[in-house]
Amino acid sequence: MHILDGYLDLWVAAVAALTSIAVLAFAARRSAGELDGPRAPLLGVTAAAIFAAQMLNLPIPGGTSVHFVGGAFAAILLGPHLAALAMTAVVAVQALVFGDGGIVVLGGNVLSMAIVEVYVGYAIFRVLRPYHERVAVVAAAWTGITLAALTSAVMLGVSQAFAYDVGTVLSIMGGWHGLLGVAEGAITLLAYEFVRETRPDLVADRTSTIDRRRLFRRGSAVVGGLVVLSPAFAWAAGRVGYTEPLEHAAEATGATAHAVTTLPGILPDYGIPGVDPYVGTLVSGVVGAALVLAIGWLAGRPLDPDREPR
Amino acid sequence: MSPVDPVSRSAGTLTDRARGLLRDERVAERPGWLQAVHPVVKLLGVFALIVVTVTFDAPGPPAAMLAVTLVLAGLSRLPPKAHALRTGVPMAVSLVIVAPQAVVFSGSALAGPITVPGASYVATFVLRVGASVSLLGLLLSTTRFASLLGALRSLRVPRTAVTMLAITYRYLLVVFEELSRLVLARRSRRLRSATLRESWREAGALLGTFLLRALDRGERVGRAARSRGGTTGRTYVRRQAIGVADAAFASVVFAAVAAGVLLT
Amino acid sequence: MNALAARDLSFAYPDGTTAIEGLDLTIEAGERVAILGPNGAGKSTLLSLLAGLREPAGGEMSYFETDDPADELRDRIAHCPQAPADYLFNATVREDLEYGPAQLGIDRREAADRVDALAAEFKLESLLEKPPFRLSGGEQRRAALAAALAVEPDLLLLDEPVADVDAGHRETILDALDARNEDGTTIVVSTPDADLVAHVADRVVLLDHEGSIVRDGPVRAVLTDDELLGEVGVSPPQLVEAFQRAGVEDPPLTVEEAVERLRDGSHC
Ligand SMILES: Nc1ncnc2c1ncn2[C@@H]1O[C@H](COP(=O)(O)OP(=O)(O)OP(=O)(O)O)[C@@H](O)[C@H]1O
Ligand SMILES: [Mg+2]
Repeated sequence: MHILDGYLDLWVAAVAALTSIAVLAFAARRSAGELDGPRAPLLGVTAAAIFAAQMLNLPIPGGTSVHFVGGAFAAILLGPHLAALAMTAVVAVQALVFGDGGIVVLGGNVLSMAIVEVYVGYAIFRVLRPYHERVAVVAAAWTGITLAALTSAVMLGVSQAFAYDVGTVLSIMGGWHGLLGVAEGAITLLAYEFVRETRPDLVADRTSTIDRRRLFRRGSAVVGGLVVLSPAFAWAAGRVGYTEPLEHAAEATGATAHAVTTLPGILPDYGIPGVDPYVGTLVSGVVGAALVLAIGWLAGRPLDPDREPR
Repeated sequence: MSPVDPVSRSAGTLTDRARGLLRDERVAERPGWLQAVHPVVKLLGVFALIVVTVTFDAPGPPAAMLAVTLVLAGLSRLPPKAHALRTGVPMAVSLVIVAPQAVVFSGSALAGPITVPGASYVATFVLRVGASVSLLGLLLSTTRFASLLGALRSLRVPRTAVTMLAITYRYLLVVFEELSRLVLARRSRRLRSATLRESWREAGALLGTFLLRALDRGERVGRAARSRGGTTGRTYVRRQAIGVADAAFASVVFAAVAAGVLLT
Repeated sequence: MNALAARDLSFAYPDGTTAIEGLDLTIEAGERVAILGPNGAGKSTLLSLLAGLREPAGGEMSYFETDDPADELRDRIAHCPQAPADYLFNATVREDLEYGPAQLGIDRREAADRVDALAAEFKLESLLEKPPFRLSGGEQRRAALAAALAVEPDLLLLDEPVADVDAGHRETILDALDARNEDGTTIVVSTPDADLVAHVADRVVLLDHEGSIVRDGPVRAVLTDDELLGEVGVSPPQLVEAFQRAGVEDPPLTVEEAVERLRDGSHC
């Protein structure tokens, strides 16, 4: 899912980076105090371990293998804010040590893999847990990874540098990661059950009382803020995008309209044959709305009560 | 214990990663041009070059940039094969991904269904990715990670963030080794080849054990840091003088950025 | 003045294991104390509690007869954990030696002098630029001790400080500890090895399996009480055992003592 330098337009990379910085600053503030104490080393070591764990190959029928990503699992173990910071360290070290993913697009990769995956995974887990714990874990992992992929897809799709349009990229990446998400869900569940048996205290339900009014206030503030800001984003995109040379090329040649008809044939593994690009666009709308809701809901969550350092 | 057992193959992946990391560290110690450039200058320079590169919209400029990076790689004594692989693989993948566009773009035919604008777009895209990846590769293989962190610190990246990255890096090889040990220990205790279901169960337990151990280790390291005055991130910076190598690199960056801006 | 005082200290791990319960301990400034106990007795847990690195489930700690919490006294209290790998978390050994002084805001020149002196004392000169995880176990142990000493603490809490070092380096470490103690540093060492105790301590705190103190007294009195040691599951020092079996009362504790006695012929 790592995006490389050269795939995203600069403005997309910049917007993603600013969004990531804002969310991470929020996460750091929500976990402040924890972070100045012994937490930075804890997160650093955990990040290294998640990085290593991502190299674990898991067999799937057909002779190939998939690997673990771990954003949702980290969120369940560490809580969303610390997990977002740890996953950011993973993504940053991947880029800055191994060159997986670029440095100009680092913010974009952090946004999808360290922020969307973690917060969405955590939100799903918390919502579903009261009803069915195992389902909650699987759903958290599946949704986290799928929405992370869709976030990447949106960034790629709106980038003129990457000639495919949003609908195409969304349906391809969404479809593929929807499948990968099944594996992620399964392995996350297995690991979760192991942890629950050996260290029940780590995954104990620490539900704190929810102040519904505060939740509502926060939620409406976030949604309202986004609504107010969206024309600004669109305007900025228009301004910057205006100078993007490929836009003209793509428009002039009608590239966007044709892309989807050729691609599934060329990349049969990835494609969902017959998915209309407009369905993809619809998906993106639904995803966007879900994201806003998830973020709004999370903003209203009281932070986990601190875990005693052992 | 079938030879293709993916869980066991993980040990190989881990070893490869570790080897890549150690190779980069060795290259960073070699005497060479970019190795002598101050990390802050290098980081900013490479960043600027990538920013310029990704805005190119014709195949010429990114091709020139790629050529420049290859010269820089030579002058910095990078191992050619490793650098070629590091750059070539992402280029090949990108080629596969955007190849259909060669046909999709309409315009005068080049060969068969391939059109001139299509081919030009594909070439631009692939070269852009290649030049960017090559630039990043230059930065990473000529800079020790500790120096890169020092650069981030001088650039006012929050101290806690830098501390966290430093510790992540510090424990990478340690956890790689630990995970390979866990994988191999499980394999050595298995009597027959595992079914798919068993493999998954095993991988789940393996991951659980491994991550729990990491959490424990993280807490121990955290306590050690606390007993030593916390993680304020303060260090004694070792200043590196700015010299000829820096000036030369800065002029390359300046020339390339100027050319890029003027040409596009 | 006392260096530390623990009152009614208890601690349980999150999985429910009770490691320490209702423990009282006062250590005077300048004392040399060994915490002796079998594997799993709770020595490491106790040491980290004494260093204020874990929140006790109950009880209180105080240091140097002040009310200051341990976190405000990190320049005076040093704790070296059982696994040196956890202690050396920087990129190079030099950075690890500099870490404590840097956190405490000590002048860089002063810090550099300390690092040089410690590197010479612990024979680490050739290792200074190496990443700590490429050091052998014994080298890591020495590096960790040197790093702990770099802040020049008044109270040293060392968890098995000579585990995995060879005989020559063991002497180096023991000499270093003696030198610090002569300057007034309080030293608390944990070990499951009764043979070491006489070299590092004048007073022994004996822990049993449940993590409670079963005996707290002068080294000679505790180490020659073979019945008590046997109950707890710690074997007495080999010399003590040998001389006791030979029917000698008041057996020697160290080789030097034994040699002296044998020379004098006072053993029989
Ligand atoms: N992280 C942990 N979680 C749960 N229990 C633990 C943990 N660490 C130690 N224990 C338990 O606490 C008790 C005391 O452990 P501790 O490490 O303090 O013993 P010790 O005396 O230092 O032993 P050793 O001589 O082997 O170092 C033991 O029963 C051990 O099993
Ligand atoms: Mg111990």
